[in-house]
Amino acid sequence: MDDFEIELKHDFLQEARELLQNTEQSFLELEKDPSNKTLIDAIFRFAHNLKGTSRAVGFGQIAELTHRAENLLLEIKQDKIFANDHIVSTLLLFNDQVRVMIDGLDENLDAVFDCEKLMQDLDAIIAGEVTPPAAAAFEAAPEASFEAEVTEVGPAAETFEEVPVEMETQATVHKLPEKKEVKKEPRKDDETLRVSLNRLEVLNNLVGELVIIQSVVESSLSKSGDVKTARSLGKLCKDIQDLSMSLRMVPVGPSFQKLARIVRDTSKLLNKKVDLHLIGEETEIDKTVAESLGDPLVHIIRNAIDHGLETPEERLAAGKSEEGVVEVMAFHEGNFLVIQITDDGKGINGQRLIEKAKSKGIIPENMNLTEQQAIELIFHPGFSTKEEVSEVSGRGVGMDVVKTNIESLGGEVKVRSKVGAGSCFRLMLPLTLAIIDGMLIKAGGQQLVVPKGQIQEVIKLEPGMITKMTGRRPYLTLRNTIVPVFYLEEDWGTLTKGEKVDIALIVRHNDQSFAIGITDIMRQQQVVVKPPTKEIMNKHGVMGTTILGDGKPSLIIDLLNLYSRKLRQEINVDTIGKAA
Amino acid sequence: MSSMFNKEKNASLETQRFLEFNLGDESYAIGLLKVKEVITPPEITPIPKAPAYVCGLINLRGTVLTVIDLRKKLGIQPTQDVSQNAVIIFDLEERFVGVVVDSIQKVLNISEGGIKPVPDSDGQSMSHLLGILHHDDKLTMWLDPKMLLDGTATVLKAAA
Amino acid sequence: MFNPNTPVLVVDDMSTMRKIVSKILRDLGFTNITEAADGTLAWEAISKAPAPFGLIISDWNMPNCSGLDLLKKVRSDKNVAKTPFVLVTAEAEQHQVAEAVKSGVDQYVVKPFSKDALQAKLEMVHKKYAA
Repeated sequence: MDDFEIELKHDFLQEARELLQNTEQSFLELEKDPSNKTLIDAIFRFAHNLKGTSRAVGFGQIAELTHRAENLLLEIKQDKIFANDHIVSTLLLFNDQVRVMIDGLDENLDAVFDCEKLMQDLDAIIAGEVTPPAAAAFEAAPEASFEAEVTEVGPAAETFEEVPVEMETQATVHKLPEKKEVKKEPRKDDETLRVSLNRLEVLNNLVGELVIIQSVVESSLSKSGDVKTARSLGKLCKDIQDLSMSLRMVPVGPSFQKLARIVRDTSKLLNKKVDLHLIGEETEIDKTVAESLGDPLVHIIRNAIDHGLETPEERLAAGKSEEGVVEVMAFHEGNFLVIQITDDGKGINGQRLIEKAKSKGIIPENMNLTEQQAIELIFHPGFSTKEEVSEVSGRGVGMDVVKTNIESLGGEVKVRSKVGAGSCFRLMLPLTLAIIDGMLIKAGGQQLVVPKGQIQEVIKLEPGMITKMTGRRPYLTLRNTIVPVFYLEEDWGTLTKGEKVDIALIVRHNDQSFAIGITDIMRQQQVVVKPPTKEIMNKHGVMGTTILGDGKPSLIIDLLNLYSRKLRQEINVDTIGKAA
Repeated sequence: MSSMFNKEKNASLETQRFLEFNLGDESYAIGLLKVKEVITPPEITPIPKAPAYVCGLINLRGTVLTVIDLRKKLGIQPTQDVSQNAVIIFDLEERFVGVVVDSIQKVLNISEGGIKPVPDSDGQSMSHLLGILHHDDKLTMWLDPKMLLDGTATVLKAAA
Repeated sequence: MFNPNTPVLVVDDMSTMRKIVSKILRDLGFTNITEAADGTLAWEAISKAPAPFGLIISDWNMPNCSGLDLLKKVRSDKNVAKTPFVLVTAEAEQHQVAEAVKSGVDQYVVKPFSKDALQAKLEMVHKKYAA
């Protein structure tokens, strides 16, 4: 294999993987809507492109397999075969097999796969379920025509004069009376290029360097009077930085789409009916987080269907709709990316968990737990609620693994559940390496970044606005509401000489607003949230670190985290409420 | 600790490489494999309310690192002259940590025989050392990089 | 044979296929190759090209605007109507070639094809236009 061929093969695998991903949804929707021509067209195009290109780059097995699938899809497209459950299942298997092959070939370009059974199945469907004449034509044809195609460039080398003959034979084989116009689909977004995460990391770091140099150049340019060039250089560098920062972010969509498949397979296996709702697929997360999110999500979903949802009979008996609802929703909340998995199943029975925990010796006999504490027992290592070993969720690998996985990402898992009504799992993931809109502020002689999303309002402090009382938290009155005031420098640095607290940031926690006095707001900018270094990881209020435009590292301060606890402690003892 | 070295004394004649540096007037060294690079002291963003030996954060080509001052941790008086100061970036496998030193000396090639166990010294903790390096008629203390990992433990300076 | 400087447009919705065709063309000596990812983009390239393309090699089955659609467009625009046009087809599409012939395609090649096969076709096309 020469270099070009190797490169080409890898390019193809990448392109094929993208096609696969773009088509995944169509495969799944096909089951709900087997007569949807757009879906069939999309899948047909997928198989068609894959076949032609895989053959051209020399992946004969993919070509051979997709050829069968293409034939079947053509029949479906032409309404000769109706895509029933069995056919959709077989097509999904085809989808899986292609993925396995792509992955396998990516590792070893000479890999060989066993897909004989699947090809036979595909052939059998074409042969068995088509109306007799078409079936007969196909039964005889595929092998022969396939052989002809792979023999080097035989057909291709034929001259144009031979076309009529060729047309005749092909026509009898494929029986294509009417050609349906391929439905127009909106064009899929840009082409993509696979780049290693490492290289992105290096790029991000280099851009950081660039920005530092740029600031030096910019200031010397400005000094020499060339403000215009300095400014355009600055803008250019900023654009490059923004772009390089955004490269690591991916939508959660693809991780979600895998779930659709899991739901389908799991519910089939358990004979349950599940309606899956995916919300917030466009929410972006860091690629690394997205990748480590897959397993925990799959586990929770399987659990929800296996342990959470009732059988259709049980549901009807309980006065619920036959079909259980599982909702997966992604959104940003404060400093977290939240993924919330809700089901409307039977909920977690805390009482049963307690009994179980006691019988297993996980908790002592005489221990009293609140309902919530009882529910959280499911995170206990080795705790499985179902009596029998389930094929789906398995045993031994429990929610404790999910918890550990999420925590190793620096996140946390929360659960709420109500017997009879369902359960809700919240995965809270820190925006590690994510980009946030930050506000660069000055307080206590320091430049700090605070997440802009936490700030409701910015107030310029005038003399007399803040009321100070001995031994009490100072407050200011904002639109007839009492707002306690904190000073960032109390917790974060010290006011250097000549610095004043001129600005108050209004932050809201639940129903309570509070003000944070700072010296100045420098500017707003997007920052990449980098993890805090180990040495400051456990420091209260540190959300992460970042590198500012001038190349200096800075701390990102989580105002909510820093002050909400303080606020809670004080609010109960403080009497400022009465002062109003 | 000492038994480890007795055992290995005759095992090999291979030399080990160390980076020698000064903390105040004292000579220390660390295994060269633990050193990622040495940089001139960059601008450091202080971390408010952090322990005194934590200097702050630096930007090492896009990675944010903590720089610590071992002298403060070990109770060593810094030299007056800061012109030779440098920051050694240590590669501690799970992360990088910068350490301010007064000056960089040189790379030492030391045979097994030149590595002596840490002497027992009545009650004084020497747990931050892995050994004593004999070279050029001089003794250099071989620092245990693990002490850099532990952000909270106080390591007392051994009585000379 | 075609002048190596002839601007060639390669149209295919699969980037891997475009790469293959372009590589073969380069191996055949062509130096001026433009790629387009579907018929619509190809038409844009054709209508905006500073120097008219001397050869178009297009895949047949593409979303939005197929190779056949593109062919029809080219043949009905008097500015570019005389551009040599080669369609790349899958074997299953060969029966439809008649329509392409009616629409004025010069040659067609069936995927997968070798360098020699494409060269043979191109020589035929060139002869036709040189005559």
